[in-house]
Amino acid sequence: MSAPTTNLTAKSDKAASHVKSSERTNLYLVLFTMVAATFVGMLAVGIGLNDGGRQLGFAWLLNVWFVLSICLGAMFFVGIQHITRSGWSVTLRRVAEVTGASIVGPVILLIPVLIALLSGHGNLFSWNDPSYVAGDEILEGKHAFLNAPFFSIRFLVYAMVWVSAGVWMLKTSQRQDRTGDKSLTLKMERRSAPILIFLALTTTFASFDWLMSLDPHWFSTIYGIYVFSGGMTAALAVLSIVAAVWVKSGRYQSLVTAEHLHDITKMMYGFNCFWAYIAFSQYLLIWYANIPEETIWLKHRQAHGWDAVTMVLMFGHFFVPFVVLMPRVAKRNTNVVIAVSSLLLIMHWLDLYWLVYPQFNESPILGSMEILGAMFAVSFTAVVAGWFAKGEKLIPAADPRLPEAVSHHVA
Amino acid sequence: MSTITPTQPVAPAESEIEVGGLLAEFRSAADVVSAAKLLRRQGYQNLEVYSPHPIHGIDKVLNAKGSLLPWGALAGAIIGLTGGLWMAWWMNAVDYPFIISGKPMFSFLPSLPVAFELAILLAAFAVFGGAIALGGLPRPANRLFRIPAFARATNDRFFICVDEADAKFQTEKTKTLLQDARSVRIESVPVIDSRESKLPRPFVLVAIVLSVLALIPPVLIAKARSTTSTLPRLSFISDMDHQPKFKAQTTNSLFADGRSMRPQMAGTIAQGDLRDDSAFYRGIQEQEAAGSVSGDSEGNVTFLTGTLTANGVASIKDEQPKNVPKWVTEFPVPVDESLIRRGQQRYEIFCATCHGIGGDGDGLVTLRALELEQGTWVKPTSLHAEPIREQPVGQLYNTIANGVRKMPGYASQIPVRDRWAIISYLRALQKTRTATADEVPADVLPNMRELN
Repeated sequence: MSAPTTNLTAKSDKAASHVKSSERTNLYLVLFTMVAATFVGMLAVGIGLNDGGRQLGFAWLLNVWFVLSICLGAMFFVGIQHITRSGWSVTLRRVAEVTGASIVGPVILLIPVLIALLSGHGNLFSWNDPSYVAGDEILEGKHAFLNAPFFSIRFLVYAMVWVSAGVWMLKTSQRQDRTGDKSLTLKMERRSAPILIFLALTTTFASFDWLMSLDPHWFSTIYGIYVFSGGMTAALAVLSIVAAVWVKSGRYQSLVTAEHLHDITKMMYGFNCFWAYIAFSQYLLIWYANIPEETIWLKHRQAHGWDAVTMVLMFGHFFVPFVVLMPRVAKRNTNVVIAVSSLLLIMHWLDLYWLVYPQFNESPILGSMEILGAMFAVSFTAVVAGWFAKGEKLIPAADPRLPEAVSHHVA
Repeated sequence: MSTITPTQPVAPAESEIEVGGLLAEFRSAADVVSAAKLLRRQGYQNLEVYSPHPIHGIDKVLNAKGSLLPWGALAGAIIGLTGGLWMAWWMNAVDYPFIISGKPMFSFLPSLPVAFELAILLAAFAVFGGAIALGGLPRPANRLFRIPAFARATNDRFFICVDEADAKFQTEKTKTLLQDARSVRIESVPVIDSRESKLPRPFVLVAIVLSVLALIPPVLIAKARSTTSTLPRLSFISDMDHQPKFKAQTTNSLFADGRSMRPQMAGTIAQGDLRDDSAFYRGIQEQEAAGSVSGDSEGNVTFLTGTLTANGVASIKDEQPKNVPKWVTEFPVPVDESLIRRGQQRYEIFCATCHGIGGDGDGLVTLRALELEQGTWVKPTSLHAEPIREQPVGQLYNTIANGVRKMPGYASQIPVRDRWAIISYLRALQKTRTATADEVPADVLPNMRELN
């Protein structure tokens, strides 16, 4: 066993040093410029609007949550791989670990929103506006939960769970690269169980807090799972794009092959079906119960131009990927996988847009602010991801299950 | 040493035995794969590889075609999905249309779960049945099982079977080829009688008998559905149908009067049944409660006698019975805004369906009934009609509790206090048609004019 492992380690070492340092510096330069330019751009557009920073706030929230949900999905993926002792996914796990640890980025980006909340701004979260809450029986009842200090304390708890879990899983895995300590695999497996439980709870409550409370009268208990399923699908889309690019370029030749691409795409396919299932469940229950306080949320999303967005989501997020990726050959074709995964990433953004923006404006608005925001949040998180991946291997070369991943074959 | 040797059948020359093919045993997966490759290169087509575990890549070596099974699953899923939708539509909108709360006969969304479940079910059936059919099961006899060494195919050995039907098959040549390919043992595959590979006759007979028997229940059901009978229905669980207990309106020999329903004991009253506040509980003035009212001594009012005229409306004015109860004319409960609001809410739940939100007798049920033109419906009297306006509150109370003409009593649905609340709201509703400007508070009046 030792001979092939050493061989593989040597191979992945060679692969890891594939990117020349000058290329990396150039990439960083581009990313930093992008972060700065988009940030300044957002501020400029926001000042130009003169709406008290309202659109800036909504665009900020939407795009930070776009990245945040992907990072959460990646952490779920890593946890699931450990707890199921998966061998097939080892060569792709590091990418997920880096993505998970990069949650530091969106967490940092949410802090300005928190400061605005604590200083009494109510134009993003209407429950923070005393004049809006006053006289509203429901909001006064919810005030004990929906108030800026308690909201901030809750966020600190979520952030602590996310950052510690994400960074710990990445750092432990990277430590194994250097020490080759096989017991770390068992340690990660043991800790993954509580981590997954905490992730599930924090994801649910964080999406209640940050997204559902935008419409503070409305509630849906399935909402957290809905956000999770979208984020998980998007995280797997990121992983399958990375896998497809590697397979295409032959960068990790025997380490990441069409077999891995096939399985990661299958998993994405499954979670996309799960997303559709959850979306339909939420819709059907609200539609069938026909209680005005619940239907109002969906009725808004079926009118004022949101009906078109809903349709695009239904087809773009579910039906098109469902049909296109159904044949085996499609899941093994790098170009098809890259195209569908990119579509799914865009659709995940649109999904969050569909959740957030009806609270901002009666009909859909899509302008420079939203696009700049997406570029900003993504590039900012990419810088964080680069910082975590810098000087480290992109394949967990000392993982005891690496040979299993290399010989992985989809029957 | 011994001269007696067991008599062994004289083995005929190899070339004379009928050979169904050759079975070659290998020690490792790598050997079996390279042997299969070799045979394929030689042009052999009819190969089968047996292994205790899946060998990655062997399907490529054998040029095995992709299974048809996924297509079967897809077909099952599509049939289930469309069949489920069709079933929901046909049952609800065609075969047995039934209006429920004014909802449409067929709706796509709630039909999706059943269509989805059916898609999964039929896809699973297709895979289950398809796997059995494609695997050629049931197969009562397998020629390879006649070779004892083959048992290790489920344990630690790998086998290749070359069928004699292969165009390239030549017993000796193929044997040499397999030996060269590091086979550790080569056996001739026996030819088995085609009758042996068929299901044994008793199995077939039992299956036929069972499937005929299985037809009996559906035939009986079909017969029962299409004919009439004077016989009582079949009782499968008789101790549930006939329970040893006394029911209302039956006899009981344990008591002298033979009744299973027991009358109240003389001089007793059940908890909560006292109801001595006649004005509140019956809408009849206290001193009149006992005696003068037509009816029994407990103060229950007998039905007003009336006659139905040709157009179905009862005329009660002409034949007012002489002993009309002395109705309460003042509310026996304090009337305030909260009572009226409660009354409005109850009115809109219980009364408005027939009497209409405005009390004009144009509720949704009434409109629907009149639309059906079945002639059995009596349009409720407008609550703004003069006879109703002039009724004392006690009489209105009695109407709510006990009903009048075709209107049923609502005593079981509406508690006593809520009946008074509804009457208080009814009085306010009637006021909206009769009130004059000087009855309206001065500060509200200008706003009302604006509305007009």
